[in-house]
Amino acid sequence: MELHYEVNGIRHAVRVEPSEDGYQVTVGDRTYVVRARQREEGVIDLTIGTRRLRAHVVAEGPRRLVALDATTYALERVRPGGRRRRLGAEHTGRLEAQMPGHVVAVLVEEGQEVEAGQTLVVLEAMKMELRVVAPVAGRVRALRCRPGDVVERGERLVELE
Amino acid sequence: MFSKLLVANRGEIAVRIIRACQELGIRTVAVYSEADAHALHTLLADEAYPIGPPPPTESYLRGDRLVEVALATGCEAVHPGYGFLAENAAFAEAVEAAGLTFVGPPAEAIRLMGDKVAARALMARAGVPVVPGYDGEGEVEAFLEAARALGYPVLVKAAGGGGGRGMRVVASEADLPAALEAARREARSAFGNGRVYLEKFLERPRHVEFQVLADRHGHVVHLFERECSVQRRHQKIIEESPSPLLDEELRRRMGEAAVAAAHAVGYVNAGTVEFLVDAERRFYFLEMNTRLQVEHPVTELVVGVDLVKAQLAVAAGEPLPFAQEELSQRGHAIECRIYAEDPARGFLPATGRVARAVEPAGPWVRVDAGITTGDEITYYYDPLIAKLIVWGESRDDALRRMAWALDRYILLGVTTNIAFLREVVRHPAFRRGEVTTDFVARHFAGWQPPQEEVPDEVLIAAALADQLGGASPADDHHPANSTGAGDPFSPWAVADSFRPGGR
Repeated sequence: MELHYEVNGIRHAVRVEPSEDGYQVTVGDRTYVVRARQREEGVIDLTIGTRRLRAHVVAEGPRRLVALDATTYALERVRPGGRRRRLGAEHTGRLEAQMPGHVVAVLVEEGQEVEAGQTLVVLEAMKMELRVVAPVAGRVRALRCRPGDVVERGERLVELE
Repeated sequence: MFSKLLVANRGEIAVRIIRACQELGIRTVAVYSEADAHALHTLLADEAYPIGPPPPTESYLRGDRLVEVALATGCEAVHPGYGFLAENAAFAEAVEAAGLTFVGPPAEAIRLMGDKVAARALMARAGVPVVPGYDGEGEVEAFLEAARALGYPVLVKAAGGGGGRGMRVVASEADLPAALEAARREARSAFGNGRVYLEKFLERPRHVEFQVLADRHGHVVHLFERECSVQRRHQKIIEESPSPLLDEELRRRMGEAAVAAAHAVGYVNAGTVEFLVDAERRFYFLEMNTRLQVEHPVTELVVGVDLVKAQLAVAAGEPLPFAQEELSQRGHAIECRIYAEDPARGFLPATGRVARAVEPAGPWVRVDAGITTGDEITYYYDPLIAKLIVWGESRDDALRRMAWALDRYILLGVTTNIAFLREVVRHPAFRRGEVTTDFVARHFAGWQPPQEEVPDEVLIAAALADQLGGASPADDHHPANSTGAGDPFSPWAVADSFRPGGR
């Protein structure tokens, strides 16, 4: 059986064949003799050649999270020949909430002229205070939030013109 | 001693308090918001009651409801933990007015220390050095004149703020009037108190705090210092004791100042006096935290005192069981705060479900966790997952043990700061004890997690887990899974009616 995983945009093919006392696993052009024992759900003990390892593996949809040797890896299982689904570009606009939280204060009014760097909205989440500041000078065309509102990451809070 | 106590908090500190009560034979009552219905603290307590929707203002900050639950369940005392209502004088009063004991300082001490301007004045009168500044209520001209005398840069701070909130650095006179105006406006809406004051901006200070403990009989002792200089966004991420900076003489003088500060406000119970120490090793009172601190375990490990049990004993009216000269520091302790946050994106909080949590265990390794496998981290609360604390015979020994323990802390499913902490504790400057509050900005600006080539072993583990059907499936209800189809490969995806270990 051949399984495909993508890590950081690179695709890896892993061929797993049952053998007499375990598996023969081929990664790229390297072949390993592997014995595996599932100790409990998500905990897998491996003997690869003479090396013995314990890995923790979690599946989240097509994602596979693997913890091994003090490092966590995020893999995505993909169909042979298939394309990976791509998520939309992340919101990075500075007039949007960069984290989910609630609006502590709205310091401008619609129609108000603002200067570059001026604080427009103060957000708070998880003990952190975040100021949404004007990236450039301009006029507030619309306010999309009020004090007390709960906002999601990427939600547009202020429109400048 | 009390027979039953309400824990007015959540997360790791609620768990910590419940454990102390269990050892003392005190029955516990937990409270929880709708977001915490399955949280660890609700399972460990003898009883648990819902107090409202997830937002803290509708649950953990509802002092009236907390008092109601405490009375209805026959509690004698309320422990506020840290955060939420821990430093709310009105809550402390309400608890006492209901005939219950507040496990913390008198309301008056909370009120005095909560007003940063009043606290500065009181400390100055008590002979405790404060950061040079201007606390007047004058007009802009008075502030300008004061700032000129102090020398730029200066800090504009909110009297109702604290813990780094509502604080601005002003580099030059031209920027001060606008900064004052903006700070006042923000302080009014954020803290309900528009008063601001000036402090001289200390270049690269160290943050050293002293733990104090006071009983109802007028005895105050300090339990030495904690060095808390490794911070991000003005919040601590690594704390240790002893401080690599202090020598016996400075430690003695700062300890005496901390005790004087506690006496000056009539302090009772556990509290922390925070100081800044400048490059010339001069120290200044910064603020007093009138509660148990997040980082209290490092003190517990080097001094050998259980601070939560001490809080309970003092609140029950018992005298302190030790005098100052009976206390000493032994070895070295370090704490790393394990946060759900992304150090590569400005330490922004991360949310999600912890698909797997495996805590390190070994000699002198302590984990205070409030989150376990299966718990959801939401944006309603502080993203602290756990505190990892180790003790060693020396600082080097403790550092090696911390590096070992961090390497063995497994948290899958949410972004954490573990990879970042691993690099901090191995950094040469940190190993030499050269930590100032700008340590992270200086040495880790623009930090990105190491992008390592994925080892074959990892691919083999994933493939065999898939082959054996053994990758533990994350909760299908998590939003991360609901955006796309579930795992098209997983045997679990089709087994709607059968999910091992599922709820």
